[in-house]
Amino acid sequence: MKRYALLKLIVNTGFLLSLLSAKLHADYEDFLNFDDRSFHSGDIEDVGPRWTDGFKTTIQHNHSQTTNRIIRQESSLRVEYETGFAQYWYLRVDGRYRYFWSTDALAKSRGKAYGHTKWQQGWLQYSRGACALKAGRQTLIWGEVDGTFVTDVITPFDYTEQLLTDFGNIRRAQDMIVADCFLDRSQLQLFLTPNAKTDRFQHHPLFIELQPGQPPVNLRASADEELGFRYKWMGTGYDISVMYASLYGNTPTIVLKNGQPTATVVRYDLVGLTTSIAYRRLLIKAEVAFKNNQPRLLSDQTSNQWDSALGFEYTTRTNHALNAGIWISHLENNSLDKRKTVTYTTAGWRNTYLNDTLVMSLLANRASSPRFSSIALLSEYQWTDFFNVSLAVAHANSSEDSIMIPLAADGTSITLGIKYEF
Amino acid sequence: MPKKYRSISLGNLRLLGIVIFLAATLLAGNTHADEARAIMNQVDELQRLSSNGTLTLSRLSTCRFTRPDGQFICAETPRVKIIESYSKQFGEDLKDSKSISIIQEPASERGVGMITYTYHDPSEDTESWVYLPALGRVRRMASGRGEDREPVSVFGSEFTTEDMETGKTAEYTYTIVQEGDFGGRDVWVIEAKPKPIRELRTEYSRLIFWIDKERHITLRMQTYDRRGRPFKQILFQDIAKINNHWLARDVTLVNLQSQRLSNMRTQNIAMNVDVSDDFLTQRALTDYAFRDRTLESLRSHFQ
Repeated sequence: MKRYALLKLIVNTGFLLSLLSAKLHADYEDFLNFDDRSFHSGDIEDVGPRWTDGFKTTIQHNHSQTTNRIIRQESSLRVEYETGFAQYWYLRVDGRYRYFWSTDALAKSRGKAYGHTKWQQGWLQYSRGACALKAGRQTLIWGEVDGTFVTDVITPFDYTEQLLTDFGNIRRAQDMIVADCFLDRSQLQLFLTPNAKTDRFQHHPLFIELQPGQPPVNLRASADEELGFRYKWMGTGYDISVMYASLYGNTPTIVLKNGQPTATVVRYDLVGLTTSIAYRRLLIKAEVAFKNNQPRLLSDQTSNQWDSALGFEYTTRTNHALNAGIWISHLENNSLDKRKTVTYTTAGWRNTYLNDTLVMSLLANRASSPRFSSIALLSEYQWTDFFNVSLAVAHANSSEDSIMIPLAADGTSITLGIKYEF
Repeated sequence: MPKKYRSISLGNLRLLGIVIFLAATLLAGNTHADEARAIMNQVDELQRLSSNGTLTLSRLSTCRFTRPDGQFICAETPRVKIIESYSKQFGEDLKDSKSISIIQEPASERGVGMITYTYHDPSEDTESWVYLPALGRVRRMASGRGEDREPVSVFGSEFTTEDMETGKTAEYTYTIVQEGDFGGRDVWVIEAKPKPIRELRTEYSRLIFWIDKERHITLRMQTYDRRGRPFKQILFQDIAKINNHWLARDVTLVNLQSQRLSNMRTQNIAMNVDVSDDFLTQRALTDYAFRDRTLESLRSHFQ
C-alpha cells in the first residue's frame, strides 16, 4: 500500500510539473532585464533639400562582344530633371549624350568614332480635375504580355541601345500629345503623334543588299501623323482595355513599287483588346488585335493581320518570378508567302538576392519565321547606392533566311554595363 | 472506519487537490490569455488607426552591424532609401488598407511607385500595381493573399511583409509572461505563438512584446525562429505623441542571424489627413502633376 501511494505521488508530481513546464519555460528569462542594446540612427547622415533635387545624372559604359568581334563600346552621360513647378504643371526633361568608341560596330560601319545626342523625354504636363494633358517628347506603351507586340506598337525601338541590360533606353521617344481622363474605375486615353518615327538601327543610313549585283536599298522611310485612343477598365483583380489607332508600321518593309524595291511604312488601322487577370500568385495576360493593310516583303500587295498573345506570370512561394508568353501572328489572304502564321514564344525567370541588391533573370525566346532563337542570362548588381553593374551572357541562333536587319548578334555574346547614378 | 476506506479517502483528497490546483492554474492562464489578447488587440487597433490618412517620409537604412561596447553600430556604409508613403484604412473596423509608396532615393530607383490594396478577408487577394520608369507603364502584380508565400523583404531591407502587417492578432495565442518596469516604463511582457493557420507562412515560432501599459505601444520586440533560436529584435525609439497617436519615429530591426540591421526613421509625418480616394489609384503613378499637387497639400501638415 505504501509503495502504491508513493508511486501515485510520483506520477501526480510528474504530471503536475510537465503541465507547469511551459509556463516555467516562458518565465525563466527575466524579460524586464533583457538585452537593452540600442541603435543610434543619428549616425546615419541626413541630407536636407539641395538645389540639385530633381536632377539625376547617370554616367555609363557598355561593352558587348561576341567571341570574335566587339559589338558595342559606348560611353554615355545622361541628365534628367523633373519638377512640379506650379500647382497644375509638371515638367520633365531627359537628355543623353552617347559616344561610340572606334572599336564599336556602329562606329566602324560609319568609319570613325562619333557622338550622338538623344532626347529621351522632354514634356510638359497639365493636370486639372479628372484629366491630364502631356505634350512633348515621350513614349507611350500599350499592351500587357511582355516580350510581344500585339498592341505595343505605338512607340518604335532604338536598336542601337543594349536590349538586354538597358531596357529603359530601348524605346525611341516621339513628339506626342497624350490626354488622359480618369473616371472612377476607368481611364480614357487619347494620343496624337504629328510626325511618327520608325525603328532606329543605326545613326547613319542603313543599306540592305537584297541580291549580289543589285543596288542596295536604303532602309529609310518616313511616316506621318498617328492617332488613337484606349479605354481601360480596372476591376477587382483584373484590367481590360479596348483600343483603336491609326498608325504607321514601326519597322520599314522593303516592298516593290513600280517593280523597284523600296523601303516603306504603310498606314494601317489597329483595333485591339487587352486584359490582365490576377488570381492568387498567378497573373494571366492576353491581347488580341486586328491590323489591316500590312505590307508584304518584296511585294506590292498588303494583307490583313490578326495578332494574339497569351502570357502568364507566376510567383512561387519562395518568390521566384516565372513568366511565359506566346504570340501568334496570322496573315489573311496571303497567297504570296508560306509564312502565313508566325509564332513567337518567350519564357523567363527572375529572382532577387542579397537583400534585393542582386537581380538574376533568365530569358528565352523563339520565332518560327524567320527562324530565330535566343537565350540570355542576366545579372544586375547594385554594388552601392550609386554604382550598378550588369552582366548578360546570351546565345542567339538565326536561320539563313532570317530578317535582313541585324537586331541581335548570332552566336554567343557577353554584355557588361557599369553605371554610376546620383 | 475500516483501514481500506481511510487510505482511499486520503488518496482521493490528494488527487482532488492536484485537480483543483491544475484547474486554478488553467483558469488563471486563460484569464491571462484573454487579457493578453485584449491588450494586443488594442495595440493593433491603435496602430491601424495611426496609419489611417497618414503621409510619411521615411529613411530606410540597411547595413551589417557590430556591437562594440554593447550598442549596435553599422559596420559599413548603409544602403539608404527615402520613401514617401500615404496610407488609408477602409472597411469594417478599418482592417482593409490602401497605400501608395514612391521611392525618392537612391537615384537608381527614383520614381518607382507602388500601389497596394490589402484586405482583412483572407479570401480576397492583395492587389498591387507597380510603375517602373524604365518600363514606362503601370503593371499589375500577382501578389496573392500573402498568406501562402514566404514573407517578402520590404524594399530590400531586413523588414519583411510579416513584420509590417497588422490586423492578424487572431492568428496568435498570447500570454502575459511578466509585468514591471522596463527602461523606466511600466510594461506588460507578452508572449505570442502562432496558431496552426499562421505556422504555414511565418518565420517565427515565438514573439515577445514589451507593451507600454500607459501608451499601449510596443517598446521592443523579440522573435525566435522555427528552431526557437533568437532571430530578430525590433527596437522602438523616439516615441512621440502626434495628433493623439503614440508612435515610434525610429524603428530598428536587428537580424541576429544575418548580422544585419535595418532602421526606419520617420523624418516627417502627417497624420489623419484625408485626401480623395483618387490618390490611391493608378492615376497617381502616371499623372505626375496630380501626384505632386496632392503630396504638396499633404506635406503642409507635416510634423
